Amino acid sequence: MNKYDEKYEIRFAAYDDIDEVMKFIDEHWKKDHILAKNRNFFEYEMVIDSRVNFMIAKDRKTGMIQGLAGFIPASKDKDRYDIWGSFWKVVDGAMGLLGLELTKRILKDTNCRTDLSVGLGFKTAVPIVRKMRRYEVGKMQHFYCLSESDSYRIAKIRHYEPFVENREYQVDVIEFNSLKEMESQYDVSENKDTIPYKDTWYINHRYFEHPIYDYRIFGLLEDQRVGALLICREQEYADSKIFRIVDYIGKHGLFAGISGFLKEKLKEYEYIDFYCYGFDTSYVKQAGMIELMENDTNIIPNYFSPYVAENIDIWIGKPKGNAVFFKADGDQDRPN
Amino acid sequence: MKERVSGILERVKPEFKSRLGEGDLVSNGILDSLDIMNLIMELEDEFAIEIDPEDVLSENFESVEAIVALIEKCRS
Repeated sequence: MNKYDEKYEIRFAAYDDIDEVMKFIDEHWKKDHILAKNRNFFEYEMVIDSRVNFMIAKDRKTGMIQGLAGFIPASKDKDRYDIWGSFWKVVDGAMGLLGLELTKRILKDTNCRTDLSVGLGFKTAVPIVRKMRRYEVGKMQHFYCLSESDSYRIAKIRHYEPFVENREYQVDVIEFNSLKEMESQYDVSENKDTIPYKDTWYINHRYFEHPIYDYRIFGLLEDQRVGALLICREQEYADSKIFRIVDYIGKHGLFAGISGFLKEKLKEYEYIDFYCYGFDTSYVKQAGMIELMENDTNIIPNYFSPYVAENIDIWIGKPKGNAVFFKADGDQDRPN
Repeated sequence: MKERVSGILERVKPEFKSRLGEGDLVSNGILDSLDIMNLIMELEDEFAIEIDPEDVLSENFESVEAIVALIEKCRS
């Protein structure tokens, strides 16, 4: 108990608090945010095993939520329970450092191994996380490869970089249409030392069972055995479509061998992109993808609802040590 | 040192002086998290100290006197 407990009731949100949490998101985070409007999606993303994954601070006098911090777990593994922070908001006039206090309570009450951040606001959360939590912050790298085209409808291309297939090293790629198929060929527990550890529950919940997006889960073969998973999603816009690699689980080196797979996909997609941090990007380049540089005149959009013709930086935060990040981590890659 | 700290507070939160009579700076919402973060950066520059994340507690920023005590702790 501390000074915060004198003024606030601080606890996990209960099921009965969900309406109020959604209202708070609508009023204080972003009007008409999907988690403010879509109860089913809210429960899909933020309620796991009957626990609402928000730490809330309710003013004891008014009963109103004055601050909240959400989180999304990467697994159900008790020994390797890594989480990503999600919503993090305190109303004006609330006790200072309430946001930090909410984060501390999450760390304590979830007993998580690691707490990661993805999609940090550059002007607000990045300096706070860097300065007050002494976390390392960084920007994800963004890679892409282009199809041959006379006119790109989604990307804005000022300098064309042809895709160069790496024929020296290629891996076979198979697609899994169900969790059962995937489990029969790949044991995700091989990645237990990776931070964050994404277990079978996570892959099923996040990708196979996603209520809105249609994710495609591919296995990369090494010596006829699946050594990594490549998770992708199609994005349509302006009568065109792109292919987004949104997650990668397993041996990094196999990424270098997907050049043939990318070449096939470029026959039907305008471009393919891939955001990552903490990943050995020499493998990405070996696969034929190009890094989007700072102030690059080529535009490879990230936002589609609405479409924004800009290169977007995605900032991450982590404690010291290794951790990998991809586009679909945390609450990123969420429908609007 | 109190004057230097007050000066920094005024820079970080211009309305700080007009709200001095309202009591605790953090508990009463006069300083929010961004203010405290900016304050920490200014204090570290001004006094050549490093404030440990474990000392980023509301009680250490409630008043000018509390901030002075924190600086002295960091210096020692």
